[in-house]
Amino acid sequence: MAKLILMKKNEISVPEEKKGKQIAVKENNIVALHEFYKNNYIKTEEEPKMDSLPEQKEEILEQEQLFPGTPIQPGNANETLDNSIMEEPVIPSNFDIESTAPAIENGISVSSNGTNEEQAINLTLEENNGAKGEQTINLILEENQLDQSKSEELDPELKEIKERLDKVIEDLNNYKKKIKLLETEVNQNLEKSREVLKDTQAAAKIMSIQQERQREINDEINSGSTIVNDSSRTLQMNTAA
Amino acid sequence: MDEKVMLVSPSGEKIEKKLVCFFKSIDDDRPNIKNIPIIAIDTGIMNGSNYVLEFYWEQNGMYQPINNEAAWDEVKKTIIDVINGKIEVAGVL
Repeated sequence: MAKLILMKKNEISVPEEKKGKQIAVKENNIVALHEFYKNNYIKTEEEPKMDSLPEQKEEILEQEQLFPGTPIQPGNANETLDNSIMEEPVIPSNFDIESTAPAIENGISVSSNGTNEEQAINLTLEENNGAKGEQTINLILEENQLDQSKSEELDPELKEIKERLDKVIEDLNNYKKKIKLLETEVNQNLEKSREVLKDTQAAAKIMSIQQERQREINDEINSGSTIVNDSSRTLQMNTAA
Repeated sequence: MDEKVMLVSPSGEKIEKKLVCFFKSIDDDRPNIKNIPIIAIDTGIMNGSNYVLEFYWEQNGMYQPINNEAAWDEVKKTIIDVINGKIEVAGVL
């Protein structure tokens, strides 16, 4: 028989989120749990409180004492049974019955259904003495509860690393933008330089043409001067004669 | 009268909840929860026609969600034992 020590505290420290591991149970089961705790705590509180673990007691509490109006009532339980689940239990892949069998005296059949996010595990317990009564405890577990609690533990470190990474990514993106702007500016300057070069080349060509023209003019002037000189000499000769 | 317990967060925020059960197992065949205080609290939330219970276990002075699968299995077994009346109360603290 399982052994417990009951405790009482007015305040407990919990994480900021204040969310524990959750299950959903029927009203009669939650009442049974509460009654068990209340009755047994009061009963054993009258005895001297323990400072250390007690010696093992052989005292066995009768079920009737623990659960007045016990939830294990054939009539009440049967009304809530889902016959399809009871008749064809399906063992979920993550539930190892062999590991639980030694710890639990009653036979257990397990069925599961539901979406990936929510898994309903119906535990159907049968009395060993062949009693007709059956009790179904519907335990609805949120699969992400385990993940969430794990992630809550790692969050402070991961959060810091994530923040740093986000900052680095943001800086990189800013640098990329700046580089792009600079590239655009360089391209624009290059284009302007090309235009200037074209203009310069055109101007050079015009100058070259002008120089050529000047040379031609000079040649003409020179040839004209020669003619004038020759004419002047001829005139002088004729005059002397 | 319903038993109450105050949940206190690190920031000092307090919230009062209904205490359903508060125990520690001293069974050798439940090694993952042996001598670890476990508290069951009524969240006051309904899931269909079912009541949502919250379980915490003490870790380093703080009551944390039970994030260990083996321990959680043992807690479920203990709850089933309590409901079935297959429990021996060894004392109170």
